[in-house]
Amino acid sequence: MPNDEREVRMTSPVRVAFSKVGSLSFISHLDLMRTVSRMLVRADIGVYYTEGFNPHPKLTFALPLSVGTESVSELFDIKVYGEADTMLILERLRREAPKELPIREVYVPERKFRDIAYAEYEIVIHHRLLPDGAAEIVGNMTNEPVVLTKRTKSGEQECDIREFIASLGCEMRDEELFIKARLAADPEHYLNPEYVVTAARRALSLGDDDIAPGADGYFITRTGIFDADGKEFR
Amino acid sequence: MDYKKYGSILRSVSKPARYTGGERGEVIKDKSAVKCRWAFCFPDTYEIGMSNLGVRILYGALNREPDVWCERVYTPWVDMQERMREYNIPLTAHESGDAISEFDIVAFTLQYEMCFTNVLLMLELGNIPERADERGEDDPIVIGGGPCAYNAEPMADFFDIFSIGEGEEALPELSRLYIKMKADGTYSRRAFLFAAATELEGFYVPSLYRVAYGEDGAISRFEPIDARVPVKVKKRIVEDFDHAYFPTSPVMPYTEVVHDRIMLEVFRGCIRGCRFCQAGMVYRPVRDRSVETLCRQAEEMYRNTGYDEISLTSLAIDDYTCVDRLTDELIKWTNDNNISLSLPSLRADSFTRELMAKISGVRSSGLTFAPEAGTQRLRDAINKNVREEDILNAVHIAFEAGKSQVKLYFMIGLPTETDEDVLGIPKLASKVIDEYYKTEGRNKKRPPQVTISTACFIPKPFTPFQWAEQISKEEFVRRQRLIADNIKDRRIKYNFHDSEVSFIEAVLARGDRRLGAVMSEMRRLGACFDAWDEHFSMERWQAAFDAVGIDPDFYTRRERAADEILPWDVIDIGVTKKFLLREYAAAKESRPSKNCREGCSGCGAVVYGGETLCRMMREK
Repeated sequence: MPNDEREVRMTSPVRVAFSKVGSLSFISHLDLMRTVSRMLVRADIGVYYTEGFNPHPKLTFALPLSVGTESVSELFDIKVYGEADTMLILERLRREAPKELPIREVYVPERKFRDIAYAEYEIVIHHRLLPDGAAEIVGNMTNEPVVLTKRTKSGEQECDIREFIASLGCEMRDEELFIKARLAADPEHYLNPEYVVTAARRALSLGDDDIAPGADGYFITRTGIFDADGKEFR
Repeated sequence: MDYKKYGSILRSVSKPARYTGGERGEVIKDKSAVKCRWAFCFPDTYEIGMSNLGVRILYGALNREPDVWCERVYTPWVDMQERMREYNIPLTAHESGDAISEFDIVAFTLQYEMCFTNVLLMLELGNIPERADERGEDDPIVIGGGPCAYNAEPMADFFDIFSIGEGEEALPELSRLYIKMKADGTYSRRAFLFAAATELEGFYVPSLYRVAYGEDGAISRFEPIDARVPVKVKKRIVEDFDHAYFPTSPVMPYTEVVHDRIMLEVFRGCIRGCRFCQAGMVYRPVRDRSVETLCRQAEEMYRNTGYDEISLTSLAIDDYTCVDRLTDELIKWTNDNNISLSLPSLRADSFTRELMAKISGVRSSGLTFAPEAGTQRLRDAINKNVREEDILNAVHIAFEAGKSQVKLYFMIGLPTETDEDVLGIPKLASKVIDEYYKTEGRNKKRPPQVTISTACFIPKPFTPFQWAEQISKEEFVRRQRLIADNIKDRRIKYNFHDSEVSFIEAVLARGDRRLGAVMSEMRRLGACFDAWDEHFSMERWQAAFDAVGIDPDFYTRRERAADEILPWDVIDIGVTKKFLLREYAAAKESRPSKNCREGCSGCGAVVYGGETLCRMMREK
């Protein structure tokens, strides 16, 4: 629709809950934005565009997700012209979404993304050289400082990542080590779950570069996001 | 690549989305139900391969056949190559994840000479014997096509077949022949290659020809080894271009690729006949697509993709007879949907205010024109019928519309070029700057910027300059310096192509079969990604030439005699040698020729008939 007409029309906020799994977990944040933009265009749901030189659907993601990490708990916000028909939007988005980017829910948001405080991850480590008692070793690693070189906006920095770990639970399931970790995820404090993997591998004395396909490796899935009170954010 | 099995490896390489596949629009079939599987290889990175329109068309055309499954393969970047060797992972196809050695046909598109070393790398990573004569009954048939197949003699040792010309009808025919021979039990590798060469049109099987060389190093004989094999292989074209297959649900990459947008192929061929341009000759005759077809395809693609840019592709878009009507129809809905229209091949002599307005609707970027040469004398010699007034008029229009940046493309080392012509390049750039300040209503907030780029002229087969000598690397550098030294204005930027890369390109472009040994040696020396500056090594090429005792200057530094047997004489593109020689003579006299619309020059492409401009001219 023409620009002048658009300016006077009201818009409604819409929140979309989705998952990012399989081969799509290897696309970057920028790739995801492009993929979602095109999906919104195809869905033809009257999405609001940014003004300016390079107009594109206005799109805000709740949290960044690092490349190689799956998630069953992602959110993005858009605006649509007029009243939001969430049922229709859900149906249209499901029609157009890539199969590895399933749309879970569409609703009118009640809270702002800045209320997000934690993200929870499930980390699976499988390795031929996993020692006996691996779950205890990793579960107890936060009893002492866990100092890693962390990349921050101002460069690399040695830092004790324990202050970013809200909880850490470990158990063995058929030769594989399962870690459930709740990590800081607010704008000032954010811990990439890859650091937990690095710390665990170090605690278990597994090499950093041992990545024989099929035999050794790890998977990370983001399983939930929470507010400061530990309540599920939606 | 299976992301579950190779997750750790994918996390350890740059841009893993290059390898994971699973894109929207990819074609998945039941492999037990198909009878002919193609691994369609693009011998460069995913980002470059996914941008290629020809591959999109052929992928769709092959997959339209219910019993044929065509998959995509790209060259893994060096970090992934290391991982693959370390863990013994073979090169696999994107869709199924199966190793390419398991396929019936492994195809390579040869878009530029500098990707040849990647072809041999991919065969090695795919565990397919490098040489065609080493392959057994269980190995795939290796086929090449694309622009470089018009003279792929340097790669003749490694290919079983070359597909000459346009493939959207030819490749399904080849699949049908394969399926038929497999079904009736007549298939053997040898029998299939023979049948492809003798029963179908447009397939060149290099092993069915014998080549001998004279004492001067030139070819003395080039002939079929069997009387049933054609002496010349005729290129294929799609006669009815308006109704030809065109994919409107392309595979959509998730990760950023070079060209990621709706590409409309407006017409094939070019009316101009610039004397350095191979595309302008080999794609003859000119064939248009109707405005109605193009508009329908554009809308379908928009609905299927959600792309925000439509690019009108062809060799010179403003030569399209209905360019005004087409752009009028498109902007009826593109602007309102925030879709930008881009016309990447504008000619300065037909650029208008109307066209400028249409491409400035949404997200308009800088403008590029290609005068190719700095003086009118040389532009006449190369038959680039653009006058200085046209160029200044075109930039005037652009400046009027608020643009302040213009790019100008040139070539240096063109036949008959003098220092005066070379110096004409910075002079023209200065005139463009002057034009900016003469333009009323220019954007006064920003100073103008003119970027001039010079490519090094490479004589190409099937052009009037196919007999010409290429100037030496040192002379290229001298002329580049001459330009750089004569730019005193900081508002003019100068870029130039590497003369060493252009030299190797020239060797391969007009090379013969003896260069196969050089290519094998390059593989042994670890060459890949020669099209990438950071991986190109002149020392390595020189070492390879030395190792096999070939002097590369033989291919570049001599004028060929008119009656010399050229390695590509085995191919018939319709355009005759007589016409090319006539054009070469005209070039030496700085005499331009008429374009196809002004009058027929009798190039010979008319033999291809169809709904072409040639027929219209003949009837006129």
